[in-house]
Amino acid sequence: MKKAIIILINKIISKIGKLVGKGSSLPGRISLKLDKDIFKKIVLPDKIIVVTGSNGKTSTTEMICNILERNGLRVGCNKEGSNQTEGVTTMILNACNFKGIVQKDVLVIESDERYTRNTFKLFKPTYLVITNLYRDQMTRNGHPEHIYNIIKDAITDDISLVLNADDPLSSLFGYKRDNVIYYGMNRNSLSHTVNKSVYNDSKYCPNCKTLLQYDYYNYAHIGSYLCPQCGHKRENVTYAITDLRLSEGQVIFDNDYNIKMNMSSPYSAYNMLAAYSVCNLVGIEKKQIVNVLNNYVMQNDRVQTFKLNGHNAMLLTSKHENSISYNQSLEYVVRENKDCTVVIIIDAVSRKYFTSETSWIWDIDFELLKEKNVKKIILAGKYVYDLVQRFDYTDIPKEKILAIQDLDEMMKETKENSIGNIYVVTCFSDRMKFLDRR
Amino acid sequence: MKVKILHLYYDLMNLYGEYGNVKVLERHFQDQGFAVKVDNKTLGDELNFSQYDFIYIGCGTEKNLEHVSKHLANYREDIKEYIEKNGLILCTGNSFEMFGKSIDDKEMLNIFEYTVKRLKDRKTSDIIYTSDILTNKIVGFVNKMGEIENNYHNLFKVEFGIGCNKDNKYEGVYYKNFFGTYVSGPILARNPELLKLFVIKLCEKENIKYKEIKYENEEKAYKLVLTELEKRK
Ligand SMILES: [Zn+2]
Repeated sequence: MKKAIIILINKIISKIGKLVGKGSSLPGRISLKLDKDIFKKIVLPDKIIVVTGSNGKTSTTEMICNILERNGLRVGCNKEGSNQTEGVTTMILNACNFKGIVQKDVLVIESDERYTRNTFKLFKPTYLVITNLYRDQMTRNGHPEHIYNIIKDAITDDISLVLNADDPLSSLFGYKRDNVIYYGMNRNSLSHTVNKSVYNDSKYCPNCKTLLQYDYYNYAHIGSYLCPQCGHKRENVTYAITDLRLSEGQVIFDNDYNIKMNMSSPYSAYNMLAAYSVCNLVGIEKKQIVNVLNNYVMQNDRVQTFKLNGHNAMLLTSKHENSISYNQSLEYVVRENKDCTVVIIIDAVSRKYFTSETSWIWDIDFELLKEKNVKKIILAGKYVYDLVQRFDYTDIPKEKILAIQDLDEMMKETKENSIGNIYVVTCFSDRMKFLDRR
Repeated sequence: MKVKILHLYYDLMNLYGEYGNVKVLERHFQDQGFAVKVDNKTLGDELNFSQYDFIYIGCGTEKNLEHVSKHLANYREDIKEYIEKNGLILCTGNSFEMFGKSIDDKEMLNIFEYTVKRLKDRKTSDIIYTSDILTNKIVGFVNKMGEIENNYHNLFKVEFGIGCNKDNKYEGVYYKNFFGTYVSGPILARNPELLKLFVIKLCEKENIKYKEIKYENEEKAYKLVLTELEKRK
């Protein structure tokens, strides 16, 4: 079939899909069925940026798009669509004219880690940004080393890798390889020398399983390390967070650039740095990048603030089956250091499909909530008893904890008997169950 | 009354919250009146099994399993003796793979006859299993990359989900007081009766009368998961 017809079909089905509220995979799937070699017949822009990794890929992708657009580039991006091979195909074909030329200066694509090997058969990224690899949706992903192996299969020598030097696993893609650019966070006032996390996936070198020597940690196992056996280490970085002042909501890049952060945390600082790095690599001046990042407000912000029966309330969207994302929310609550009530809801376990697997709640540092400012903890949702059991193995006093399975009752209790500020910690898949009951 | 638990490869084989198994065992042994000591051991440590009342090994990545199996191979005779002398040992997730003859062409401890074939892709599944030694069903999740062949000491029957091998409906290894299963994560936290079985076994070993204690939340959590999984059969 002629490419113009496939492109037309792709566009029409996308339009119809949008009208009826269907996802973005179908048009791409049909297009690839009609011609599996369609990508050989279209003209892609010179620059293709792909972002993958366990956490932060959506935010990073969104920031890259905005920086490039605000600097006058025409950008094709899948920030609203699917990040699997077919969804990416849909977006790219929709960006084509009928001669098959993509009408964009640059493509910025978020890619599901497990789909990189399929996607990269269709086209090769110029830059591949890998934010980090850690425990995430393991019912589907297996474990981080498994994902490492899958991505490894997809990487060819001609792709420039943009890597987080501070993550021992994802930085291993750059081990003894050319064509790698590293970014990372230097030692700062937040860095610490003991890893107190519930688990430590980088105690041993991911390459040879020798004990790693750490200089410091920035969070979890992200920091500066050296393997005395094989030499795998935090490499020198081209782009750096040189200071992080969370109390002032500020992050400093490359010594010179002060950026005001909206929701300041080491996690978002890393995402910003990843975006900054790759945008500079494609030719945008640092100063211009920083102008966009300053006071940047995420489109799909994971944080939502509102009033609840006179209390200041905040919903901190975390991801089920992802302990680091939960820790991120809990650390925020503790860092705010205000008298508060914390509501934790696990009603549906998986974000994608049904499972009753709750092992991941043992990986979350709930112990963080033993701080004095946390006055009350309400556990809720269908899987509340798994949560209660997990809390039973922390040092948090039992009288602070209330377990309520029914969500209406949870809301009544939260409204009527909360102490101080209210923080609701749950997954985006469960968050409307709270918000709709307000 | 002292009890010593060995949490073997506590760091490398702790992929799905498996340390939870040791936590609940410790607590439940304490509730029976035992003074419990947990030893965490890993690569490079000297191992002396005979001093322990319970040995636990959890799940790890395929690469981690390869490394710990080389370490444990140095103690092959000792661990075999521990098992033959009715020592209590629980291996969850892929850790029991190394007690067989081989994983593909790599030789393993050769304590049991089974062999392991590495799969190209992972196999995952919610599961419901039954067993002759339990009244209640086992619930949990399997997240594995191997298939077991020639296993003559099955622990579970598969009622829902996947077993050790796609050609039959069995799962796990049960020999004397050796318990192995692919079920990953804190299986004891999620299956009160299995936990109780180990507590009773220990009481018997120490000649102590088992005290019946109600753990309401654990029962409720178990019942909910079972109900949810039953719906999907
Ligand atoms: Zn190494």
